[in-house]
Parts: sequence; C-alpha cells; structure tokens
Amino acid sequence: MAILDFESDQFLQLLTDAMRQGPGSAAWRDAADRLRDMAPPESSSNGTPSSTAERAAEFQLLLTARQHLESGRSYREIRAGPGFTRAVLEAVELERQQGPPRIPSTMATLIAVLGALTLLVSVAFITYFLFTSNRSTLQQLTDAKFQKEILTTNFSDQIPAGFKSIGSLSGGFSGKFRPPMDAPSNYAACGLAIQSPLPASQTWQIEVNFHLPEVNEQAIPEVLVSGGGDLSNDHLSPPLLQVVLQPEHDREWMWRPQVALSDGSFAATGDAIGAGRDSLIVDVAVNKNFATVDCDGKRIYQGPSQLGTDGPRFAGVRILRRGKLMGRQLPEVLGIRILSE
Amino acid sequence: MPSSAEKSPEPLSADLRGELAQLTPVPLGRESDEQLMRRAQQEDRQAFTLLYERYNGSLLSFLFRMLGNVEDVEATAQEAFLRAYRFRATYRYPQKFSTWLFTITRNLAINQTRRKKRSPIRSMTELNLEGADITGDPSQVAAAASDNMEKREQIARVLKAMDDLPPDQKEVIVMGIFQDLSYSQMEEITGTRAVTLRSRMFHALKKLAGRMSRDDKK
Repeated sequence: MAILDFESDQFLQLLTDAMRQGPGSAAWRDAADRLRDMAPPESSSNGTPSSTAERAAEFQLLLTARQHLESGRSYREIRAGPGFTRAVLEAVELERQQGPPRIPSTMATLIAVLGALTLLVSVAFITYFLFTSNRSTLQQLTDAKFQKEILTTNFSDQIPAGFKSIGSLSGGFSGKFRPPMDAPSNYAACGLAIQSPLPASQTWQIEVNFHLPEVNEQAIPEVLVSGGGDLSNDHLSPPLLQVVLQPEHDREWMWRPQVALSDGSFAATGDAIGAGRDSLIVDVAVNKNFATVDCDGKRIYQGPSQLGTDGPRFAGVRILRRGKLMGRQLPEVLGIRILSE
Repeated sequence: MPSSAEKSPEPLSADLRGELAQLTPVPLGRESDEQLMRRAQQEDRQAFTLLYERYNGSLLSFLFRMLGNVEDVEATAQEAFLRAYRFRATYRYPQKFSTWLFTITRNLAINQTRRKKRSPIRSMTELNLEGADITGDPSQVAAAASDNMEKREQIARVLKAMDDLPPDQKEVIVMGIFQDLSYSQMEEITGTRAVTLRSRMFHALKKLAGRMSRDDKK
C-alpha cells in the first residue's frame, strides 16, 4: 500500500483542497484536470491499466463521493423557530440585565425588597438551626482538616496496593500512571480507583496530583467520586461527582476544570489553566451530604454532593482517551492520596 | 464659462478617504462578523442579535449533523449563544468570529456527547425548532437534490454512510464540507494539525466511495 504524504505531496494537498471546497471551486477544476492527465484513455502497452491510472481512478471515485455530498448539502439542516429565537434572546437580555446591580427607586420596591429580605433571613435562621443539629453539614466539611492518610499510591511498575484498574484501556506505570498512546476512535477510559468502598457517613478527601504537559482534547483527565458503582465501566451512571479538566480553546488551548453532578448539571467551572504544568492538584472532599472541590489551591465548588446518603463511596481518577497520539505528551497521574480527618 | 466656485473639487487623498470612511457610520447589517462582535463587546445588544441571526442556522445544523438527534440540539445551541454572549470579553478582535463561535459550540457538543446517557430526553413537540429537513432522512434530501433515480440512491447512500464514519472523520466532513470551514479554521477549532485533518478528509471520502462501489457491485 502506497504511503500518502499529506505534508509535502502537492497533488494530495490539491486533492484535499478540492474535497473540502467542492465542485465549482478552482481547486476542484485543477484536481479534475490533473486526474484526467494521470488517466490516459487507453491502457498501457501490456493491456493492463498502469498504477498511475488505477490511482487516478481511485481518486476520481473520491471526487464522485464528494459530489454526492454536495448534492446532499441540505442534509440535517435546521432553522431556529420563533420560540427558540425568543428563548435565546431573552436569556441574553437576562444576562445583560444581570450585569450592573439594579437600585430600587420607588418606595414600593423598597418595601418589597425589605419584605423579601426579612423572609430570607427567617428561612436562613430556621435552616441554620435544622442543619446544625446534623453532623454532616457543609460547615463541618469546610472546617475539616484532612491529615490522616488512608491510602496512597506508590507507582512502581504495577497497580498500587489498595487500588484497582478501571476502564477498558490499560495504563502504564513507571513512577507515575500514564494512559496508552493508542486508543480507539471513540473515547475510552483508563484509570485507578480505590478497591474497597468507604462508608457514606465518613468524611474523607481524594487528592490527585496531575502532570499536564500539553492540552489535548484526545486525553481528558477526570477525578471521580461515586455514590454507588465501583467506577469500573467506561460509561458511568449516577450517583456520581466528576471533576473534568476540559480542554478549551480561546487564544490558546487551556484546561478548564468543571464539576459535574448526578443530575447532569455542571455545578461549577474553575479558572482556565495553561498547558505545561508539572503539577496540578485536584482535591475532592465529601461527607454524607456535601462536597467541596479545590483545583490548583482554589475552591471551585462547595455544596450538595448529590451522591446519596446510603450507598458505598468509591473514588478514583481516570483519563479519557481517543485516537493515536504518537509523539505527544499526555496527561499523567503523579499521585493519589485518600485522606480522612 | 465656469466661475472659480464651480470648479470640480480636487480628488481626496487616500489618507483622507480612509479617515472619512472611519467617520461614516456603516449600517449595522453590513458590518463584518468581527466588527459586530466588537460592538457586542461594547454592550451593543443589537449587534449580538445580528450575529445570532447570521449564525443560528449554521450552528443548529452543525449540532444536528454532529449529535444526530434533535433532542440535544436546542439546549446545546442555546447554551452556545449564551456562552458567546457571557464570555464576549474573551473574544480577541480580529480573530475570525465563526472560528471562535464554533470552538465554543464544539466543546459543548463534546460535553453533551459524553453526558448523553444522563440527560433527560424530551419529546420533539417541546422543541422550538423548525426545520427544512428536521427528520434528516437521507432519501428525502436525495429526492430534493436530483430527478435521476440512480443518482438519488447514490446520494442517499453516501449520506447514510456518513453516520457510520468514526467521529473524527465525520467531524471533518461536517465542518469542512457542510459548514465550509477551512483547514486552518478547523485546526484552530479542534487543536488538530491541518495535515491530520487533510488525511481524515481523504480517508473519510475513501470510506464513503468504498461504500458506494460495494453497493454498486451488489
């Protein structure tokens, strides 16, 4: 099989330009002319088509497929209806209005605001008394000092004691945990999770230290806490709390930490983190009802964990991988610690 | 004989023409996307509304082609426009607006695909979308494209085969062919090198062509 060099073969570049720009473009006309020149009307002297002619015929088929795509351009075309347009523009307007703080101007508004404030204070007062009678409060979690090490990784050349491998892909160990360079074209997971669950009533923290040399959307790191399943499968189901380092692009590629909860919502988004980090620590602490998430020393979420109050708790880290990434530097896990008060 | 007052004016210098062009207000509708975004950054809501009008069709269609189901399209598209407005300060003029918007949208689409199992499915009647071809049925599209029965079948087969491509190959077809984004724009949006995108385009079309010739032989 001939090796196709899309980097320096000018004809392949012309052909792929023609494929993208489509019939009618200058690249298309040039490519079609070149293909006609490559495929003489008669076969070569020995009566069989030459390899150049075969290649031209193969490329011609690609252009024919491209022509069919051009004819099917209206495939899955949607326009926004009035309801959608109204919803978007109302959301934008709301966003715009939320910008500067609004000052109540009339006495009626002032009275209404004072009334609402009184109500809020009363509700907050009652809620405070109800929650302080319960040990598993958010305050208790934020005050917790995690000093006792329950488990820690010591990456040598095997899975560390107390941990198990999760996901359908296997990672490598050499002083750290690294995902494989080759992965299927759809996202698949490789990672590590604690072998034995922790009780939901216990207050504890998972601390993961990542090495993030470059941002790559084909290798996405996640820290996970489950309120039921043992995290083995690639597709996880709730109750689950995920901290995803999402690749994001503005002027340059960056990691954006996001906290996803069991209801499918993204509860918090942290500051963007640039590439080339030798060490980035993500902490997730949980008690019976609540969770806190810190990324790079900054608190990005504190609130309900949505993990349920009864099920066993598993914690782990994984890297979602897709595609082949030879020669690229992938995110790695330098260490995992499970800590309690 | 013309008086001195009736003399034709001297032609304006290039510098002066440039200055005047900057002073003359350009109707909002004729502004480039990038100029409109700059106005939106200066709290001009009408400019953002115009950008929405220019891009809602292509963004919704992009999401429908990528996600393959209308249930996810509405919420993702709405979130994409809202994020574009919310994070308008992060847009850097004169970066191409379409590239910036599609980067946001693509990231949301990837998130949506990964969360799909956990998202509630809503019924079609709840969606505020109306479409030329909301079912996405390839044979309907092919019927509208050609009177020739044989060609119709080939178009429908290619469109059907597109859904079986690996996601990265399908993405390059949707972005490059259906959304008309250049390789360099796609490189910026996906973070994948242009040479790799060219290779994906080639191999995707090769697969579609292979499917066509296999079906022809049957």
